Amino acid sequence: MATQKEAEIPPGLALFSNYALDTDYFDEMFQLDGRPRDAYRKLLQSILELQATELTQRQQAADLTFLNRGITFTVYGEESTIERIFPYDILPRIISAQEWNTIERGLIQRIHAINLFLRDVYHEGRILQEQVVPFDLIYSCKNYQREMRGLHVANDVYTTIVGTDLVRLPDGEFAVLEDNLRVPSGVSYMLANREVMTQVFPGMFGGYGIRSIGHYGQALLERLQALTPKGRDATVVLLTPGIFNSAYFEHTFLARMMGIELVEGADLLIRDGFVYMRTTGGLQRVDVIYRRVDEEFIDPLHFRTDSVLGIPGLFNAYRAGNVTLANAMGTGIADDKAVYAFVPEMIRFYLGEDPILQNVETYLCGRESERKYVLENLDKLVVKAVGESGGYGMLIGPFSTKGEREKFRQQIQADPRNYIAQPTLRLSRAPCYIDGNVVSRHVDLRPFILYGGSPDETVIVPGGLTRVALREGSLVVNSSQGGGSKDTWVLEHAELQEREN
Amino acid sequence: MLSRSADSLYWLGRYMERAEHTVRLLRVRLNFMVGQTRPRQAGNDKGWQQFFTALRQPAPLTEKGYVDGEAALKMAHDLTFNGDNPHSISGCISLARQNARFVRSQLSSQVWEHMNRLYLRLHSWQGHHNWHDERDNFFRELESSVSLFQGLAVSSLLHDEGWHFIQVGSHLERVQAVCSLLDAHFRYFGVDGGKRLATEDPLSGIGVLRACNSFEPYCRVYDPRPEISQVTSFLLLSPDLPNSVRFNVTQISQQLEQLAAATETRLAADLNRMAGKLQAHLQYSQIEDVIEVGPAAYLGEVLSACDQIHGALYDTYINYPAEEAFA
Repeated sequence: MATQKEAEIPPGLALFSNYALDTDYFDEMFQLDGRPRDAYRKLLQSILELQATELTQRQQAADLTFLNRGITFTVYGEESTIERIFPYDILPRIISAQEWNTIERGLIQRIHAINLFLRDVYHEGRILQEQVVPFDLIYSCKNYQREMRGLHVANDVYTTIVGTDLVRLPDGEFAVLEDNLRVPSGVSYMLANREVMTQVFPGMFGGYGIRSIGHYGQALLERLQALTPKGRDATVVLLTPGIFNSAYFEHTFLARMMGIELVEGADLLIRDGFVYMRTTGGLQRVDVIYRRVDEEFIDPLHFRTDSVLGIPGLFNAYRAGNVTLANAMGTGIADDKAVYAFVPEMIRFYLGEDPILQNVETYLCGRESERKYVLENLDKLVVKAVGESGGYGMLIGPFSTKGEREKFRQQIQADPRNYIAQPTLRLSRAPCYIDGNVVSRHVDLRPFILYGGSPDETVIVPGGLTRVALREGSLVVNSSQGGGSKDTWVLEHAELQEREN
Repeated sequence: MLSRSADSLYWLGRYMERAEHTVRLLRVRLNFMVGQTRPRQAGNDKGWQQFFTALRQPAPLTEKGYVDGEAALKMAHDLTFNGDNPHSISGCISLARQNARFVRSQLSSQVWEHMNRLYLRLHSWQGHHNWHDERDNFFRELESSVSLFQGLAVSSLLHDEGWHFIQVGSHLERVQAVCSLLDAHFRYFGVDGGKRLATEDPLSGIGVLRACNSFEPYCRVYDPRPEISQVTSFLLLSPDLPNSVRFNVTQISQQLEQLAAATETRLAADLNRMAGKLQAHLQYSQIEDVIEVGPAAYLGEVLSACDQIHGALYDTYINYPAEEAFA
């Protein structure tokens, strides 16, 4: 990609001497003329007042806080098992009230439509009969759960928790890259980032009206309790695969925040169609399970028989309505990357509205004309397997070798339904403090949507997890591949900022 | 509370107590060495034997059957830093931390962060070259750091059933540690290997008192020249000494009563009877009773009662059959 240098950072900003700014990518902090965007003006001022030594000290203080709190993930090395902290950048990513308003409305609309879609495909199938979404696309989907057909799901809420990945395109618009509808993770880092930030940078918050995110745990618990008639008297538990899962820290964090038990499969047992947990005072009935175990592992009698994480008989208890699972089973059908392409259609079909947030342009290899285009342009496109997540099963055309492209060409031809392609996305860039300089790195945004059955009962804590590709030029933000994160601020008063202008 | 959580909290208490005991034994043993001019001195050799036996570790012996001094020092280092050895300080702290991770959601941030720092600190010391010269400082710091766990637990945890499990674990561990140490003492310094309450060298009792953090309290109650029946009486039967067997058994019994009330379980009768019986036994024992059966037999009885309590705790709260819960 040609880098056309059209913009300049004003002289005198020594910290910014390596900061890349050009028309190829939207910059979160600076306008093209080098002036800071309104939301970032005070942050820039603080950075300039603090200077490099101070910034470095704060960065180290932040790292130490993460380490002491055990907010780490485990790296299994050759010599010994060590624990590392997730890389964290101390400069916050800032979203104006107006931008957030669009994101929030767009996500609520989208998740509501997706839940209506899930209810529809597992019941009447109206959207299929009217040929808005092709039949074969659904029935050929690996994540379609036949067992869920005709099953009533509490309050028709299929996805209590969703983490939708947004990217910001060069024109400054946010677009949806994917919806994580099964067991989305990362919310604990959003919350921990904020906590650490307030500790190491109390001064920076001054004057900024930043919207609070501290109510996430309460909001989640309320949505989980609402899934049973027992309401606040319901026994809610969080089901984790266990201490060796890379998201274990998050599981403990959330259980503690909500004051609920963190259980493993072995703590639960089924008797006469009800679920019990083994406690010191005897067996106790469980009403709602916030599951962080993938659905294929949840019940060895119904799904993967080799699963040791699951509870034999759980699915029968679920089907009998004696226990509620959140998220529901079978939601993976809607985050299949080929089905994703139809979400705008779903919004029009169920709600009669135009989508507020756009999709990224997507080519379905299952369609002959689109497949032909994809195969001819493998070096320009990003190809993804439809059922994968976390950056796996992916070909990034411009950074691929001929061999890799050839491999994907064969895979696509062998199983076209399993692949989609998208243009190589030009993710926006945000300022990061790395090795004594402020530099720009690519970011995305994962807000967490707590859906309660209707737009009114849906909560999105302002912000989300901003993930950063810390390596220069890299577009991959996944933590398994050199990604980090930063605190995300949503500002309070649009009017206040305007008045200051 | 989940049975699995109770299990973890119980072992958290045990491992932290074990770490503390091991630190103290090591510090006392290595300090004692400093005063020794001849490494082969008879007292030194027995001291090592007692040390390894109390920690249930095989002593490294030379061909002639003496403890190999250099190998023993290496083992002391190993018992400090080798995380793969579950009896080492590092091993105990790693295991305690792992159990703490299982129940992270039930601990306070203060307790968890303290354990985490302790773990990281111990790891950062691992490659320290001057370990030998600075070890007294190191052990003192480590000891107070490990003890601080209990302090933070007292002041920042909810004193609910989880708390009782931690306490039962740590008191039970302490009873076993003190009994094992006394037992090893009589085996190597005693007359008749512990059948009689007598030792060859009365001064050796100082080491035992120090290793139980009880030398200074002893001097306040008794004449500072230790006399073995007084030392034994103090460590076994004192109602006021926080390291005495009786004191800790009383705690266990009380904690278990509260636990049964908090959980409202119907299965606790056997467990509480065992603990109450042991408590009464110690409460109404005099040193003459110990003399009558001999210290080795008396200690053996207490240790086997502890094993029974441990087993019954599992049957009551952790591994009970599901059928019983529905009965």
